[in-house]
Amino acid sequence: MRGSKASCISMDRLSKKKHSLCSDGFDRCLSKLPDNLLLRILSLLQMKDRVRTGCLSTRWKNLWKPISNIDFTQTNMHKTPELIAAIDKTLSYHDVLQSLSFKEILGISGSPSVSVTDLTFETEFWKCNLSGLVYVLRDFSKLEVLTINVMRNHDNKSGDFYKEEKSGINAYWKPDDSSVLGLQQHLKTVKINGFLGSLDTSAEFETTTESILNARDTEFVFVKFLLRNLTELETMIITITEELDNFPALKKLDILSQLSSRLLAFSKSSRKAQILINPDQLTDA
Amino acid sequence: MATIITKEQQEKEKMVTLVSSDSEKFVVEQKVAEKSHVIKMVMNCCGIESPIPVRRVKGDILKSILEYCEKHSKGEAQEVMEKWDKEYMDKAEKDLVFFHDLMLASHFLHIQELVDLIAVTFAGMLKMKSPEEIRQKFNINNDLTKEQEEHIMTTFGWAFQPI
Repeated sequence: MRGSKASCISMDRLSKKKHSLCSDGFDRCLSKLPDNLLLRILSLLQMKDRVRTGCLSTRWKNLWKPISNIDFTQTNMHKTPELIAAIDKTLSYHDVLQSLSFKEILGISGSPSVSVTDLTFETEFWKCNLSGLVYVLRDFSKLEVLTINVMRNHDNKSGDFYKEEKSGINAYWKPDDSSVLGLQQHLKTVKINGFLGSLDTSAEFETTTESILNARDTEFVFVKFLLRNLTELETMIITITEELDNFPALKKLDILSQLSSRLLAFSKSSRKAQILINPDQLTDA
Repeated sequence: MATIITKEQQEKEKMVTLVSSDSEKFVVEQKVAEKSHVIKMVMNCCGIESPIPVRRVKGDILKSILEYCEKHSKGEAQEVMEKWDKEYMDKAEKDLVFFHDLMLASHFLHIQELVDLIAVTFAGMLKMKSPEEIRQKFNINNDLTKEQEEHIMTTFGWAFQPI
């Protein structure tokens, strides 16, 4: 062929040649590589390998963090709580999560083909956690029971992702996102423990119930999303945070009733679905 | 016959000359050069009559890149291509500086297939290695403070467990 003759390329000669483009050594060159190229490379790595690159130098420190697919497949964490802690920590650094896979949990059950049916997940329920939660639903398509433990906010966990709160919910997750629609055919039970997270109990007299609830809007958005998308849902058990006891009895009652009416007003795609709020406390009373 | 001449002319028109940053000239088929989106765009708007300068890429790198493009414009069987790609990368990764230049050039020229191939190879080099091993391999200078390093180690402790 004419083309091959004209270009007459030989790799053997190439590798012997010296290249002077990087006179300062490979390090300088690596640092000069554009972010998107390095991100492309990092996105191909397993989570563990990826996170480790954050320890290489300042150039690499935060490089891996915006990558939107998370893969915990090859981690050698055998304890589920340990893995959940790791995932949760990682989630808090990701506001544009697209996929989340941690198949090691499957490994525990013996065979990777057996899918997770029961998942417990801890989150602080910030807006930036939402997309991650949604993708948990997408990736764990065989889930039957989903338990979400809402953790109290810890002030010491300051950092980059709090700033993201301001950019609004739609920046990383559209509540109308239908990508998980129809994928959750098995999910029958959703438990949310510690609903409302840590309420601000210091200003109970001035603050209206409405604004107290509005402050934890994320949780309502997520519940609304679940109810609309889970076609097979049977029970949603919501246990409200113990922080509520800090309120005076009347206020507590007001919050509970407003919260209930909000939750019950959401449209449900599953006819069987029933929402139970604080079922344990009800039986106690 | 007139038709034959036209055909030959068309054949001739399909060749394009690329000039590297160190003035090395390469005559390749248009479809080979088209593997680069950047060169394709240049050809579309400026034609292929005059040589196209590829200013940021040196001769040896361009040569290697064109070898890749040529192989990949033939439409051979997938197994053949995979084997060829592997050999191509095996050679390239022996010289890290060359490898780096190849990566940057393919990125600059927008040859997505090659960028992907190099990225996979590069990722392979980072896999299952301790930060120290990676630093040594790529001669990376660790400019993190001890506190920063410790913070990363404790925040993501699970990633630093023995491999």
